Amino acid sequence: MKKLCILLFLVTVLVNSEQISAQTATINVTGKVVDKSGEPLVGATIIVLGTNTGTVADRNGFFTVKNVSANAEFKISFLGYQSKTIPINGKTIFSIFLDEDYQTIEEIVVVGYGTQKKTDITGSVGQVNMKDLVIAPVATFDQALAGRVAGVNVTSNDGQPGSLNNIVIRGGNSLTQSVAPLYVVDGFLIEELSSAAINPQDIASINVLKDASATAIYGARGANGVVVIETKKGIVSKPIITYNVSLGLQQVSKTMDLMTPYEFVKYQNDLNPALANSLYLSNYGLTVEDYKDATAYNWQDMFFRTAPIQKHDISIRGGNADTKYSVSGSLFNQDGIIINSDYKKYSGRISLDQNIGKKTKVGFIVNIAETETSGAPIAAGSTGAVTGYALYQVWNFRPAAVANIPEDWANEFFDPTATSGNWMVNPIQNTNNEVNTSQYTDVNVSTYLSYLIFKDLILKISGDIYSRTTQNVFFHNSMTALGSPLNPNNTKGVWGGITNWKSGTWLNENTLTYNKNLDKKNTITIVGGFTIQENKSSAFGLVADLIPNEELGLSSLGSGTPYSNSSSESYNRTASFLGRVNYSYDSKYLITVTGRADGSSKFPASNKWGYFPSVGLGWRLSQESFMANIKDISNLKIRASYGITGNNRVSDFGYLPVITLNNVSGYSFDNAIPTQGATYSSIGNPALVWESTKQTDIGIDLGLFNNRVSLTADIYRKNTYDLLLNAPLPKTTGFSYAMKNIGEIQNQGLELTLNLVPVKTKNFTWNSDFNISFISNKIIGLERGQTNMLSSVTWDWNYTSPLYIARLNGPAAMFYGYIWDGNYQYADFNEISTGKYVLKGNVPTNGLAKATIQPGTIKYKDLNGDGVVNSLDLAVIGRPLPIHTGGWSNNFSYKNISLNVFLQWSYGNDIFNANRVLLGGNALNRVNTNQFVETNNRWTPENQNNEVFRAGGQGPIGNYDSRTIEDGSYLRIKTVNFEYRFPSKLISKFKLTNLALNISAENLFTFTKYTGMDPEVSTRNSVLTPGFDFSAYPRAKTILFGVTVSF
Amino acid sequence: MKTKNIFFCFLFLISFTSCNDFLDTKPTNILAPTNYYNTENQMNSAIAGVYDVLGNSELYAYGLMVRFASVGDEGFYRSSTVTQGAQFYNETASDGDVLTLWTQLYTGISRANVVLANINKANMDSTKRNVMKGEALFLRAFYYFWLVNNWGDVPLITELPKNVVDNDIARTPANEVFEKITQDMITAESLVPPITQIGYGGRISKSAVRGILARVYLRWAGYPWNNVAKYQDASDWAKKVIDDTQANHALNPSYSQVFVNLAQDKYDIKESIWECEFSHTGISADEMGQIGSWIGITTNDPGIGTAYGFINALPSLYNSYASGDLRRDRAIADFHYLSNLTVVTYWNRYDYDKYSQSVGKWRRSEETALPKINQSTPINFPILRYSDVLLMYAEAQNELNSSPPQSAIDAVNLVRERAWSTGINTITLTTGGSGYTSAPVVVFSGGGGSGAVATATINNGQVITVTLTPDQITGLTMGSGYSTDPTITFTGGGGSGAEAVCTIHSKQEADILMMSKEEFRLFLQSERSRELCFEGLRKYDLMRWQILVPTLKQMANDIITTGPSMYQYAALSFSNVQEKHYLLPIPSSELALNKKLVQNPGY
Repeated sequence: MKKLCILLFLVTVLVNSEQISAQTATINVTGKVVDKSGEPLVGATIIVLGTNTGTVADRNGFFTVKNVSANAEFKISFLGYQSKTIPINGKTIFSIFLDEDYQTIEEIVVVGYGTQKKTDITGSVGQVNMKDLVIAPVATFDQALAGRVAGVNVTSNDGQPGSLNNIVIRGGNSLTQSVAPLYVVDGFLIEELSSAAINPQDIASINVLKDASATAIYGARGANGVVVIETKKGIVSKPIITYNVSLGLQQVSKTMDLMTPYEFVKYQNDLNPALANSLYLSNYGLTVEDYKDATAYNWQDMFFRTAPIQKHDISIRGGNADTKYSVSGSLFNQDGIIINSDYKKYSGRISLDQNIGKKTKVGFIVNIAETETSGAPIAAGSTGAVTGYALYQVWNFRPAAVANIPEDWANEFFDPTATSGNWMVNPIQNTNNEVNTSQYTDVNVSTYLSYLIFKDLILKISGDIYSRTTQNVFFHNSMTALGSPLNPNNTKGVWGGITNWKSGTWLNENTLTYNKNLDKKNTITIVGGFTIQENKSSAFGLVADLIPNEELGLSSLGSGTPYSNSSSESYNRTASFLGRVNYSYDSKYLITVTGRADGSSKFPASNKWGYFPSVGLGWRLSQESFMANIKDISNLKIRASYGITGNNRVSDFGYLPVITLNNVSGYSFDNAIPTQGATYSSIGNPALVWESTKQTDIGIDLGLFNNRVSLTADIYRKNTYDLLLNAPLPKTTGFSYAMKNIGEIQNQGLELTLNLVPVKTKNFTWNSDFNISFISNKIIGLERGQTNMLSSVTWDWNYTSPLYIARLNGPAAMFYGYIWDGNYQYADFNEISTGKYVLKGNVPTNGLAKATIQPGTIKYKDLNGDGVVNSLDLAVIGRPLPIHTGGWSNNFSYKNISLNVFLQWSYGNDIFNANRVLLGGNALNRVNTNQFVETNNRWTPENQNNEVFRAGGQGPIGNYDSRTIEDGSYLRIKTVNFEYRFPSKLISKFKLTNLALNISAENLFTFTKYTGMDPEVSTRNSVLTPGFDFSAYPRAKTILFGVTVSF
Repeated sequence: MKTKNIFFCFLFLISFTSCNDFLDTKPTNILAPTNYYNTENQMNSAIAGVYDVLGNSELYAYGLMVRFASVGDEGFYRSSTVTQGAQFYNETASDGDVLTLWTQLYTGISRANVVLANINKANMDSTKRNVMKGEALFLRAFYYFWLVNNWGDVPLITELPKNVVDNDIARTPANEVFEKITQDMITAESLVPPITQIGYGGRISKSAVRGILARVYLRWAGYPWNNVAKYQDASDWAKKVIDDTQANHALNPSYSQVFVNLAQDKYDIKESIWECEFSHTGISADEMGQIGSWIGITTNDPGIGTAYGFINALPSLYNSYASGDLRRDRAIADFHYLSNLTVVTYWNRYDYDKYSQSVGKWRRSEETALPKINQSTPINFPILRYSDVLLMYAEAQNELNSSPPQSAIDAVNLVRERAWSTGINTITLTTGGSGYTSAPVVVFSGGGGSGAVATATINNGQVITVTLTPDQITGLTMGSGYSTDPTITFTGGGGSGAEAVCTIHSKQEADILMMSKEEFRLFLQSERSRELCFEGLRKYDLMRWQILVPTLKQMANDIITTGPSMYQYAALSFSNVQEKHYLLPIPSSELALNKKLVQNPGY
């Protein structure tokens, strides 16, 4: 049936085709393109209007166009210069000057299903300055995207090579579903984009569609915003080869200060004198003082390394008027700054555009990328306890040798002091022996055919496929904590596993675009289309345990005992009708009306179709006659839009009840292999519908002094309702959760983008791009009767209470816990006999039994004054969301030298520093483990402070309190790039068109009060649980030296 | 133009309808309820899911023993750093374990409801269908019994939820829940096969249903419902088990062997009527339990099988056994493992040690399935043993009569005699002899028995003591089968002249004589603990006798006044107990989601 509907559609389109008119006599034209100082503009494009003919200026600025109509017009354009349209009028030789343009006002912006002049856009579209972005020494574009566009918040959970970045446009719409934007790469809609599959050097432009006027054309997938990426295609030119190589080094920006052996032993002696004596002191006739000269084991030094990084990019682009091609390849190889964590990426891309006759154009893009990450994720624990986290292991491992083991045991695996309750292995050995490798292969093929049906009507048919295969292997040999037979909790012996995933998408889109200047003043563009898409995914894997011979590593899986086999497959489909009308009156009054009907297989029959309309209005005041006298204002536009978009990110069959068959819910009768249990794993919900977002946006675009100053400001409010929530059910139903449409969240904000050219002289230019976004969110509705939603994060099994609260009419996430009130002091106690202190009657307890509270024990605020701190005293203790975030990019150029400095910041957000919970006071009271130097300042009778509680004074285990909430604001010198371009006169002798040397640095310096390694962190990131820091892979400071060569 | 427009509209409509076919996807890797429950195999998987809940964390895998039931007056939670939870009688309405227990029980009920809703849909043999219906009815009732046992009035749900929105359901009074439990169990009793037909203790048999019915009625007759008429039902159902000539239930001659069998996956359907089954490694690893590790003898040794041993026995339990009672050294480990080593050390029986003793019923050293898995075991848990049936019968009979009838006393004596020693009781050294350079071998001869092993120690050429040698399985090697005092001779050791005499235990020592109703009641209260300690019953026994609070307060007082300083923390559990602890709190998250629920008093 689907084939039939496509066919019918095409037939209709062809029926409507008409002939276009014949042509006139032709001449040959030559010319030279220069700037005001007479320098040739190499690579300026010359297009004969109304035809497919064109060329580019050569290295001396010359061009030749053959066989053009004597009365045609041609258009000369060059990036950064104002384009010119010149009538030929029979002339054959031209000398053309182009004026520099501070802000390319005539810029064409790629929007959904078409392009628009920037001046004609009624919606809110953010553009990434690709020139600035590509100089950042990173593997994928999203790593450099933070701070580039107002309203686009990019955070990475941590700095592990290959770790994913979270891109959130205008705040999280959804509480529990994906808030990732839709990606449209060369017109291909991809919900789960692998950014690694696209080489940043291949990207021509990134536009971010933010408001409903811009995103409603993507209907049910538009609510989270849309990132439109266009890659570089072939150009009309002789082949231009560019090779780019960068080599550099990375280092950890900051390590934590830990206790010295002396401080460590002193602390152990405070904490547990019996153990300290048996391991370090009196049993060997030693005193604490003896450890002042002891050798310190600096595990951080062994864990972190200075790691090389290299990248190579090569491309060949060229073509003629009928054929344009682009071939590019890249290699990226990064050793992580933590041992045994590496990242490799190879990608290749070919694109071809071919004209067939006058009316037909076809093209394709093939992109293949191979990515490999190795090393266990540092921020993900291997067990339910803190001891399963690599960085925590490194910090907490004791810095001093035990008295009776004088030899150097840094190379030993098993810690001889380990006891059953405190089982430890050498973290360096453990990390080095872990095998955890993921390999990704991304293949993407996009094809299109466009056909000019008649003068103003174009049919475009595209077909795309995308497939990603992922293989993850892991192996815990006997030299790892998880596989060691010495681990009392290891039930699996040596074990390992392998999982393969495959996901694929195909998409067919058919659009008709009608573009007509009705008369001098009225212009209309109509786009209509029909698309179908299918996403498929499958996975299979196995885990084997009790492997007898580990020498063969992964190959020995077969000799183990099968532990679990898994397989799954699923798919979903979407069919859509879309349409948009842009109408412009005299380029003054603009209106855009958009609509999309999306049908999705993810919803039950009654709710399969969703309808998403929007309208946008624009008024260009600067075109009005009453503004004509105000010369300083070069551009002024007011925009307003309103629309509804959707979010369909639910599981493929989430509305259906599901039966699962497995061993876990089975039962072993008569000692036999268990009969597998068949149980409902989900109850389904036949009433499930889309999440919908209503968004209003009001914006202004202002250009001053010939656009030397330009400002864009937008305010918006978006309400997302029918939130798809995996809502808790009463357990009496037999089910814990069901997917329901519940509640409403509001995001609102203000975005400012300012582009300036503060200095502009013949030799020196300073360009400055600044943006800032203010975002706040609010829960408007929750499950009936629910006034708040609590969320917890998983890191250590002692900490199961919620750390986050989302209150009705409050933000979606606030830190929630006890208010830290320093320590109990002597004044809080009655001394009943010498050295025996009992808490005074009027002093509230911290939740522990009175007898266990001693001077120096941690104290919390008793908010309700009932004399005991318990769950009734929980309060909001911090705000994880920033007040504003932004970026500031500055380009300085002097003759052949240019310098780019990019600053990025986040202000007003708190971070819960969970590392300090355990290492800045020792809340789990773990003996024989090291601490941050902060613990040296613990309460003692000699040091009666209100900072760190005394050794062993941690209070009730599992409490979250405000002691470790820290200001996470930061200002970061994110990217600095210094480039020297050799003069063209010099290099042209070697037939080069460009030769440049550059030094770039990433994460050069960070201004922050945050005491952790890096304030840009969120190791349990979600809309409900942002700003949590535990054992995060720190972001590297990188310096690269690069050479770019073009010929 | 006009025709063209019509054509477009037409096209649009065609595409629209065909697109709906395109969008009508069918799941390929999930099983939908509409396509399931059609075959016997599918139904077997469905009922396995109902059984599965028995072995869940808060039920028989460990939770009942470690958190909810054993911290009566039998044991205490060994870890001094954990201070919060049901085992400390300070659980709040947001306690995680309380919620998990509630959730798991209702999960079991929901799974049983699914089986019952589809039982007539499947194409299967009608006998098997009836058995499965009986199993589902019984297990659902059993899960409700645990709910009512812990929470009193609970929502009584016998169908799958109709939708995901409207699930506010009020608590049904406990009496009605009991009514439903007993009705369903009685129906089940007529449907499930006799235990001899099944041949192992892992499935629901007529004997299991009858025995559990006795337990249910006894609970119903006790506090706080005090429905004393139900003692008759309890007695009747227990009697049915006792009088079942086909099943011919009997006690295993060795109390120890009952638990060795469980550790070794050997069934003994005469005594061990219903067991929660746990499986072993590999693909069965998900079905392992923590019996023997979380409640067991603490050790790090993977050769023995690592065990946390979260519960230590209380000295009061230890002291309640008479010297001929072999159950003491099985229930309470009389030895411990030195840390990290397989070395076995016997307790000195100082008061200090009495607080350090692990629960010894389930011993990982007896597991035969290899390799041994850390902290997870294949040891089955005895949900219902024949000795429990005998004691329940005795108790019900005592309550129904003005004084205990002989049948009640006989039942108790059956239980006690089985547990009694026929080995050496005392050894008295009469002459030390002389000239011994090494300890002579102690030889027992005559008396009709065997197995007694004793060790002599010497000093200055004289034998100064003769003591029974400890043994890991049976405790002291007093031997067995002696009907008269054996003769002791000393051989070897280079000396001569040492002489000793001994006395023996006899089964008759175990017997109780006629006593008053009240005396018998009190005796049974402690006898049940001696026989059934750590089997998940004690707290609920104390509750139905309405002595939970005073008993535990007394326990706290004992620890505070006589316990060693390092075990003072053990008093925490017992001193926290209050009247409200006769019921657990309704989980707070449930109160938030089900507006018709009302919290139990005091929480």
